[in-house]
Parts: sequence; structure tokens; C-alpha cells
Amino acid sequence: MTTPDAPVLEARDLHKSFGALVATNGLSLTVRTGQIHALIGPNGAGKSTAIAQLAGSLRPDAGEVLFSGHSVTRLDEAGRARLGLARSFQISALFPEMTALESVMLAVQAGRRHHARFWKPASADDSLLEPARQALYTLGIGHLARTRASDLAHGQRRLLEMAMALAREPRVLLLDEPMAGLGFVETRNLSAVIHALKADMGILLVEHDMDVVFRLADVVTVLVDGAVIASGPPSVIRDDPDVRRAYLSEDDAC
Amino acid sequence: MRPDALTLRRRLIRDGLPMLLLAVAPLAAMAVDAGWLVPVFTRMAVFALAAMALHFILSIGGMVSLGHAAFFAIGGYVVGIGSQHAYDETPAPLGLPGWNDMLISLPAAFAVGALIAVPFGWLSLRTRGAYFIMITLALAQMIFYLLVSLRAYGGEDGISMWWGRNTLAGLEMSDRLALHAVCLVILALAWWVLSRMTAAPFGWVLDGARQNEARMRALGYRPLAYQIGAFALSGGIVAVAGALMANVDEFVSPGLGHWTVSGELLVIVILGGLGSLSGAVWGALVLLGLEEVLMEFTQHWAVIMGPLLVVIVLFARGGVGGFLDRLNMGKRHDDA
Ligand SMILES: Nc1ncnc2c1ncn2[C@@H]1O[C@H](COP(=O)(O)OP(=O)(O)OP(=O)(O)O)[C@@H](O)[C@H]1O
Ligand SMILES: [Mg+2]
Repeated sequence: MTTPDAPVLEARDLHKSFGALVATNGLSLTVRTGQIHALIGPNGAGKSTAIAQLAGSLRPDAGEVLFSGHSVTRLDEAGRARLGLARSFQISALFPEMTALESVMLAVQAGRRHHARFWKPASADDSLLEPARQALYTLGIGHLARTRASDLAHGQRRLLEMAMALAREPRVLLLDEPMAGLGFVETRNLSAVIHALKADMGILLVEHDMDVVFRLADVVTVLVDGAVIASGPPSVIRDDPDVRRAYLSEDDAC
Repeated sequence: MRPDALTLRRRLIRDGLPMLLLAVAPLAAMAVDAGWLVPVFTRMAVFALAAMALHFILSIGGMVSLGHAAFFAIGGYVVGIGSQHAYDETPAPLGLPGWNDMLISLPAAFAVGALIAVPFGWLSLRTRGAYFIMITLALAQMIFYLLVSLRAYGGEDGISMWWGRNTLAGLEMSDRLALHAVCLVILALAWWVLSRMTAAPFGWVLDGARQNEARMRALGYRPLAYQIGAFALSGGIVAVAGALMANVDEFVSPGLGHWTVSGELLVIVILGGLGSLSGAVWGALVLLGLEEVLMEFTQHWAVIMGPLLVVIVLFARGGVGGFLDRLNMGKRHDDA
């Protein structure tokens, strides 16, 4: 199941338009177990739109999504999540009235089949509690277990977002700018967590911080106007003239 | 969601007190020769039951139904229709013999209410917010006019059960206190079931879907089935309340399904507060109590009632339950 380098999630020639706007234009990429695959590109390049199509919340106009070699193009988002696909949102999507612990317990529970759905109090279920605590500690927010999501600071929300995504031990993790708005220390810690996670899963990482991307990524795909202009190992991408012109140059200018 | 966070005393006052009031008040009324007051309290228990079922889907599921009177009326007619045929000794719909015992009529009311709530919930849940409210209202209006058109069952005038109310396991229920006790037991039972379901995974999924449906789907949940299930359970319980109401009044009419009844249930829920299911009991006590008192003084009671409700809701944010919680918050140090 966790054979290194086995393709776990594939996009094949995805197309998506919003009216006249082409948001995804022939996107193909492969996420492999044991790899961090970075998806980069300027604002509006179509990165989030690509994630939405991979996750199943947005239907492509054309193209295929494959999970472990099987087409999931017609499977809804919940169905793909049950197969082992997890995501974090660019804008934190939390349960404002739940505590951090309850939020992650709800995430863990989603992967369970056999439990008393109607009768037994969920809060007392140790089989939910333990993995949930574990996920919070992994992200360094164990001490916030009893804090309501709406009371968390921005950085802590990003980390809770991550905890919910990885609590189910997914086989693919789609991360949409998980570091956005994090401080230096938080970014470093989260980088370490993501790096440690890749042993067991494939990770697609959308990130604007180029230091993070080039430090973590095994493969980098560059998206401009919905189309892939380059894809390969970080060392190659860094020196690719097209990429420098289309994207990195503007980054250097800042 | 976290009852463990509440002290025992707080729960006793907030949850136990209104039930105790409903249990003791009729006895007190009998003791002072005011037996005519008993049905007033029974009405409160019945409305508390219906409002609690609405509270369940509203507070946890975020479903603001302005159509629950439909289920109230459906439950009432399950009693009225069965009772009429049992008296006439004519076959009821579907060729069934008439029924006149609560052991049949109450479960039947639940089943019919829940069954009709499934398509109603499915239709309403295709929308959210104000549209959800409008669709539930429209569907309930459909039921209302359907009942008005039922010539065989009195049309607009409904069915007067002058032959008396349902029996319970063959026992006559002519005693007001006995009927009150039945209503109270069913209210307590519904409360127990609904609070267990709130704390169970089922309730968590509803709660999560209310707070962030997109995230729920990303986690692998399909909330719609849970929401329809909760809506059906709620509709079934409201129908049981309607069936009890028919027995209290010994009369059913399309008026049970009038949209103002749906509004009244919503007012009770909001008045009592969304914090705990007991809010429905507080709300029923306060609203029906006020109605009763104001009616004593003036026939223009509604003119006073409206503004009074606004003041209460504004003053006691979170309803009566929230008000009690805040009173107790202030005293928290002496709990410790
Ligand atoms: N639902 C939608 N309807 C219409 N246009 C959309 C929709 N979603 C995205 N777009 C447009 O599609 C393009 C790609 O958007 P997307 O959010 O995927 O970009 P992105 O690469 O994630 O950008 P950012 O770095 O700012 O997050 C943008 O021009 C955006 O305005
Ligand atoms: Mg984006």
C-alpha cells in the first residue's frame, strides 16, 4: 500500500473553465507515495482550482483523476475522502463552535465504520480521543485541545486545519498554502511535520514560500494560467529559463 | 455539546426545574379546587414536546422549519380519523379497522409524521437559510389545505371526538391527571432520546454540517442523509405531540396545522434558548403561561404579547436557558 514512488494520485489532462476564464488547461501531474510534490504558480494560476478537482469538490470539464490507478473522476468528495484523500483549505475551514479536540475527533470518526452512531456519546469514545490527541500533539497544539476553534489565533487555526487533515492517516494529502500567515518558528515546525509525514503518504503542496518549496519538494510543477509550464526536480526547476521569466523573476523583484 | 462542563446544580435548575413545575403544578391546581387548570399545563407539556423536536433540528442541525405545524396536524388527524372510524365502526383508509388506543395511535402518528417528513426534508434541504424557511412553510400550507378539503373528516370544522378520547392499553383516560402524566412521560422520554442522539456521533455530524458543510464533505461525510434522518425524527415526534393534543382537546381541525402554530413553536424555541433542549420546556411554560394570564385580563392580549416577547428575547439573550446560565455564571465561584 505504501510502496515508495508508487503513483497514488494522478491528474490526466484536466480542463476547467469558469465562463470565458480558463482556470485549468490540460493539467497532468502525478503524486507518489513518499514524495512531496509542490504545485507553484503566481496568484490566480489555478492552483486551488486544481486541488478542488483532485479532491472532488469541483468537477472538471474534461480529463481524469486517478486514485491508486483507479478512476475517481465520478466519485464525490466524501467518497474520495473515504478512499484516503485528505485536504487542507487555503482559507481555514473549521468548526467554529467546536474545540480543537472535538474537531479532530470528528475527523477521526469520519474514517470509522463500526461505531454506535446513534446512541453512545462520541465524546467518551477513547478510540476517537487518542488519535485526535495524537494529531494535535504532532502539530504542537496539544495544549489547545479544549479551546474553541473560533478562539484560536490565526496560526493555530492553520495548524488545526492540518491536524484535521492528517488525523485520518490519509494516503494522499492535498495542502493549499498551509504556511500562509504563519510565523517563522511555526513555518519551520510545520515544515518538519510535513517532511516527516511523507514517508507514509503522497503530498501535494501548494505554497508561495519558495524557501519552503525548494527545501521540501521532491518534484515541483509550475502552473501559469492553468497550464503546466515546467515540472521536475527542484534543482532543474530553479534554473529553468521559462520558469524564471514567468514566475520566479517576479518573486525576486519583491 | 459538553454537558460535563456544567455543574450538577446548574443542570438541576435549568433542566430539572421546568419538568418539576410541569409535574407539580396540576397536583397543586387539583388541591386548590382549580382542576380546570390541569389541561392548561398539559397543553404546555404537549407544546414543549413539539418545540423540543424542533429545537433538536434547529439548534444542532441549523434547520429553521416554519412548517412543523403540518406534522402536528398530521398526528392529530391520525387520532381523529382512527377514532371516528372506531366509533362509526366503518373501515378507515386502506381498509384498516378504526383505532382508538394510544398504543396504536401514538406509534402510528410517529410513523406517519416521520414518513411524510422524509420527502419534506429532502425537498427543503435542497436549499438553506431563508429559502429553507419558505419551502417548509409552503409544504405545510399544502397539508393545511389538504386537511381543509377532507370532507369526510369535517373539512374546515374538523372532527369533534364527542365520544371521548383514546384509551391507553384499554384503560379509560377520562381522568385529566392521567392524561397529563402520559404527556409528561412522553416528554421526558423524547428528551432522553434527543439528548442521547445529540451527544452521539449522529448529533456531532449534524452539528458539524451546520457549522461547516464543505469541511464535513472533505472529511468524508455525506451530511444530507443525517439531516433528512433528523428532520424525520423531528417530524415524527411533533406528530406524537399532535396526537396528544387531539386527546387533550378531544377535537382536531385543520387549525392544528395553521402556519401560526409553526410560528408559535419557533417562538417557544427561541424564547427558551438554543443552549439546551430544556429551553423548549421553559419556552412552552413562559409563552403558554403568558398567553393564559394575559387572556384573563384583556381580549386584546395579543397586542401586549408581541412587544412583551420582543423585550424578553432582547433582555434575556439566549432565551430563558441563557438567562439562567448567566445567573449561574455569576455564582460560579461558590460552586467551586
Ligand atoms: N468558482 C469560481 N468562479 C469563477 N472564477 C473562479 C472560481 N474559482 C476560481 N476562479 C478563478 O480561477 C482562477 C484560478 O483561481 P485559483 O483560486 O485556482 O488560483 P490560485 O492559483 O489558487 O491563486 P492564489 O495563489 O491566489 O490562491 C482565478 O482567476 C479565479 O478568479
Ligand atoms: Mg489558491
